[in-house]
This record gives sequence, structure tokens and C-alpha cells, in this order.
Amino acid sequence: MLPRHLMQTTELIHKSSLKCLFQIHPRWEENKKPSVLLNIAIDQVGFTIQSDDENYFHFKNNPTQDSTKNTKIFSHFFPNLTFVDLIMVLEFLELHKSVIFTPDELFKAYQIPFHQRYRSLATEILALENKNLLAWISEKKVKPQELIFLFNLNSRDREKILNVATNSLLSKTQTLQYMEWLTDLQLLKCDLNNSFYEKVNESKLEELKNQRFPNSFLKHPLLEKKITWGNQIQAQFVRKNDRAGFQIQTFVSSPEELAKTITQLNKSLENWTSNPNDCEALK
Amino acid sequence: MKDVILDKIFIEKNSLKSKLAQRMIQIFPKEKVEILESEYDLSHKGQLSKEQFEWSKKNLLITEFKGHFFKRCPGATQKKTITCCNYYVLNLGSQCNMNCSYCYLQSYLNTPIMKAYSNIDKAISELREMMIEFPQLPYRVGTGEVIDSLSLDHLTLFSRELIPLFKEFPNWTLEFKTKSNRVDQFLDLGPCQNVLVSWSINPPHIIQSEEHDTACFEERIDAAKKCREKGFPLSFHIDPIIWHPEWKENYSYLVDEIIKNFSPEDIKVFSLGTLRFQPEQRFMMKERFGMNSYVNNSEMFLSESGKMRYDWHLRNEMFQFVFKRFKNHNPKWNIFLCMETPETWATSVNVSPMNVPGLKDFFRPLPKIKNELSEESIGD
Ligand code: SF4
Repeated sequence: MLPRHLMQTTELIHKSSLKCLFQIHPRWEENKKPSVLLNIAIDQVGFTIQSDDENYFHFKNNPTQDSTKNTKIFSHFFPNLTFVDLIMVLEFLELHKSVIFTPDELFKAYQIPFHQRYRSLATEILALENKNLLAWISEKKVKPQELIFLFNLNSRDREKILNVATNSLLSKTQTLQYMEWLTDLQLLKCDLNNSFYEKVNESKLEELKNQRFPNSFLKHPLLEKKITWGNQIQAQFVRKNDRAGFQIQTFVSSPEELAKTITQLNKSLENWTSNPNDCEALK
Repeated sequence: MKDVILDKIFIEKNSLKSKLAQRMIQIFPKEKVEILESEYDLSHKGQLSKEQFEWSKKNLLITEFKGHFFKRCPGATQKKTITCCNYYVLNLGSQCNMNCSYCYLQSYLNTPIMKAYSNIDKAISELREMMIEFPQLPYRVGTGEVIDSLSLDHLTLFSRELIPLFKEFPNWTLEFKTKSNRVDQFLDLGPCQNVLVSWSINPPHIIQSEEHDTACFEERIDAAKKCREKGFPLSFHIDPIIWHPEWKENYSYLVDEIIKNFSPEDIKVFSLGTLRFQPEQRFMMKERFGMNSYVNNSEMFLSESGKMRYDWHLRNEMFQFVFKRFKNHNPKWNIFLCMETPETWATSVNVSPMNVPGLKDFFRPLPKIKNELSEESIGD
């Protein structure tokens, strides 16, 4: 619930008297809508929030002095706005010459730094009129800082890469990684097959990674060591952060089996240490 | 090395009478100097854009510093994951007029202008207070954390204020860390066994491709020789070691040149570090230096400390390569790995810093300084 001290100048106003109405973004799914409000109206000196029970809270504040308070109230009612939504709010305010929030403070309330570049990116995204892209940004809570790599491209290439997000079956982190590698490869002027811009999944990610770092993972020095693990041990080559190594798994049901496994592990160790380390292939 | 190019020097009114401001007024033509009636607007928040960052390298603000000058090295605050030397920093300004592709200031700074502090007398009195309290302890103080120690020193002459102070307290060590060759302005104050002049150094090929506007390899070596001749101990930081196809040949050349020009007795300490940066810094690096820069070309991974680093095996190989080349020549070379994880220490060189003769003191815990104690009590 909104803290009481923030609700000091509450008046009941009828909907018809609202100067202008900012409709909640229509793409919000029903269950994600903020519970208390239906509409918010913003005018030059305050804003009005229409609640479920047909009452209206009208916050009439000294616009410049109360910018911080206004953003608190606003973000309380609209906790899930994306940077694109916030740019829409700003544009709306500018259109109505309203100064109830400063851009910096509004963005700060959503832990997003305000930057003119983010604004131009959001404007560009809005102009694409790509509902799936907007939904991805909203659902994955994508921040503009996470898309900074796109600034190195021209707007046509940027659009091409943004579209990838709408065809991705990957997690947010993987999708962003994919988009960043695509950007790098474009900047490196690599000839990329069109399929890299279509349906994106785990295997595409792997493929793209091999294009971006052709001498990397597959030629890791550990893989060049011919270590034999024996039948009892399953060894898988995995990466954990900046370290790559073997994840080994075994199953034993008797002391004899355990002894056998230990003997095998000792052999593997000998095998490993007898090969000199060589990282030449790494990039 | 190229001359310092400054488009404008802004001097705040309350700094106008300082020695620093007066020197700037003398050195630079009138049209480049602007006196500000009120404080410069530093209210900018968040990361700087490429354009703002580049502007900040060419515009200098002379201002008073209002906080604590003397602080612990940031590596020391990550004790769990990072092996860091007992190092304190004295910041006499921020931003740098040189331009390295990997520079951490790109993700660290959010001030839109280069700064030089006019109230160095306050820094000196802060230091003196600590020195009087613990004259016998081996504190190491560096001035090159957020600004190069010497690249502007021929203009600021801060070294000439600091060296006499450290001469009074021989157990304390002052370290100037630089990629410039600007040493002439303090050489007459030598000899001085506790003022370490140190160079961050890389092979000529890396200097040329990644360390723009810095002194070239030979200039750094020559400047180091000048300091040795005047009785200043030296140190080298081969940091960041940068992967590139010919890294082995190029780092061999670097080690061999050092061995040719210096002896282990000349160089108090060597530190090694491989390329590392905050994840978000890669965006600025790509934007400013393009994809052909080696720092943008290599595959980097997020490490436990939260920084992007090369694969652990590759780091180890690079450390071992440089380390062994020195040690094979003479086991007396004193080498440590700065800002590295304890595991890397153990694997690369098979020793802990506490067991390396000559390095013990760098890692021995020392009493906390005043502002650390007050921060702790606030936390309690
Ligand atoms: S010399 Fe140091 S501070 Fe200056 S740009 Fe290079 S890395 Fe950054």
C-alpha cells in the first residue's frame, strides 16, 4: 500500500474532468496489471490515478519541488515499466507540457540511469511497432545498459539484430549473448548466413560462438590431452566461469568397486600429468 | 612521447591562489584557461558516453578535493577472491591524458572531466599525521590509481612535494606508477631509496596497438635508467599481459630487454597481471577502439571476482611463461601476481606471496588507516 504521507492531497475527481488519460499499456497481461489502478491521468500540475472502485486519487503537487515524491507514487502504482515504457511516459509528459517528474528521477525510480542514447534506442524500438519485441523487453526486464552493444551498428543492422530476440528460444542471458556476438561478427565484417537471424536455439548459439571464437572451446588444451577415464567413470568437459575442466561422475556399490575406481583415477592422473600443458590454440 | 594536449583548463575560484592554478596560468595561453566563479557542475550521474569520456581526457579541472586523500587499494577490499598487496592510494586527481584500450577508468569514472587537486597541502598533512603515528611500519602508497602518477607531473609538480615528505619517513614507500617518460622534473631530488618509480610495461607491439598516447617502449626503459642513475629504486608491472598470436615472441623480447638493461638488484619488485575488466566495460572498449583491438578480440570469461578474464589455463600459461623466463635467467628476480586469485598464485608459480622472500612485507596486514576505521564503525 502506498505510504500515507505520500497521499496527502487526495481529492475525488470524476473521470470526465480528466485533462488527458494515460491508458495502461494494452499489452500488459491481465494478471500482471498493477492491482489498484485502471487508468492514470497526467496533467501539468499533478496526476490522477483511477482505482478499481471507481474512485480517483488526484495528486496535486508543486510540480518541480515534488518530482521525487511524484516518481515514488508513480512507480508504486506502476512497478513493472520497462525503459521503453518510461520513454513513452516522458513523451506523453512532454506532449502535455507536464513537469511532474524529471527524466532522471523517473528513471532512477526504476533503477535505470537516464541517458539520451537510451531514449533514442527506445524511440527506435517503438517505431518498429514490433509487439513481440516489446513483450520480450517487458517479460525479460531488459535494461538499456544490456543493449549498449547495439549502438555500434547502423539502425538497419540494429533492427535486424533486435528482431533476433523475438525468435529466440534461449534464456535472456543467452539471447543477449547471441545478439552481442552477432553484432561483433557484423562489425568484423564476417559473412553470416541468414539462418543466424532466424529461429535461435542452443545449437545456433554454439554455432555462432564457433564463428566468433573459431579457436576457442573445442581446441582447449585439456581436450588435447588424451586422458582415459575407464568404464566406471563418466567424464564430461564443462566450463564454469573462467575455468574449464572435467566433471567426473562415478557409481560404486561395494568397497571393491570403489578400490577399482580409485585405481583407475590414479591411472587417469598419471595420464594427465605425463602430457605437457599447451594453450597455444586458445584465443 | 607526444606533448600533453589539453583543450581547456578550468580553474575554480577557490583554487585560484593555489600553486597548481598559478602554474597552469603561467604555462597555458590565456584562451585555454577559464576561471570559474562557482564550482564546476559535476552532477553527472552514471556511466559516461564515448563522447563524454573522450572530452574528459582533453579538459582539466583544477579543484579542491573534499574527501580523504589516502585510501586502501581497491583490490584489498576483495580479500576472499583476490590476492592483493598491502597497498594504499593517494589520489591527487582523476582521469588520464593517455589512452589505453583496456583502461579500467572507462568503467570506473563517472566524472565528465579530468581533475587535478589544488589542495595537495591537505593530502600532505593527512599523510604526515599517519606517518608520525606509524613511522616504523612499511606502508606502501601509490599515486597512480585513478590518474597516471607522472604523465602530468611536469605540469603539476606534485612529485616535488611528495618526495621530500617520504624522505623524512624511510620505512614508508611512495610509488609513482606511469606509462609516461616524465621523470626529469624530480630527478634532482634523488637519491631516495623509498621512492619507487614504476612502469607498467608491455612489448612494443602491444604499446603501439593498445596503449595510445603513452611513451614508447624505449622511452620507458630510458626513463627508468635515468631514475636508477639518480638513486631511485625501480619496479615494473607487466600488466596487463595481452594475448595475441605472437605473444610468446613479444613477451620474450620484453623480458630479455629488461634483463639486458637492468639487474634483479635494480628492480625492487615485478608484478604480473593478465587482461581483466568489468563486464560492462567491454561495450565502451568496442565503441572506442573497434573490433580489431586485441582486447576486444579475445574470448573472455566472467571470473569469480566478477571481472572478465582469459581462460584460467591460458592465464596460467602466460604467467608461467614470463615467470620462468625471468627465473631461468636469475632466480633473484622478485615477481608477484597482482589482483589474482589464490589458486592462480599457487598453480602458476607454486608459491604463496607470504613465502616469497622480499614480498612478505607487501602482503603483511598493517593497521587500518583512519577513514577505514570510521567507515567500519558506521557499518557497526
Ligand atoms: S595510462 Fe593508465 S590511466 Fe592512463 S589510459 Fe592507460 S591505463 Fe588508463
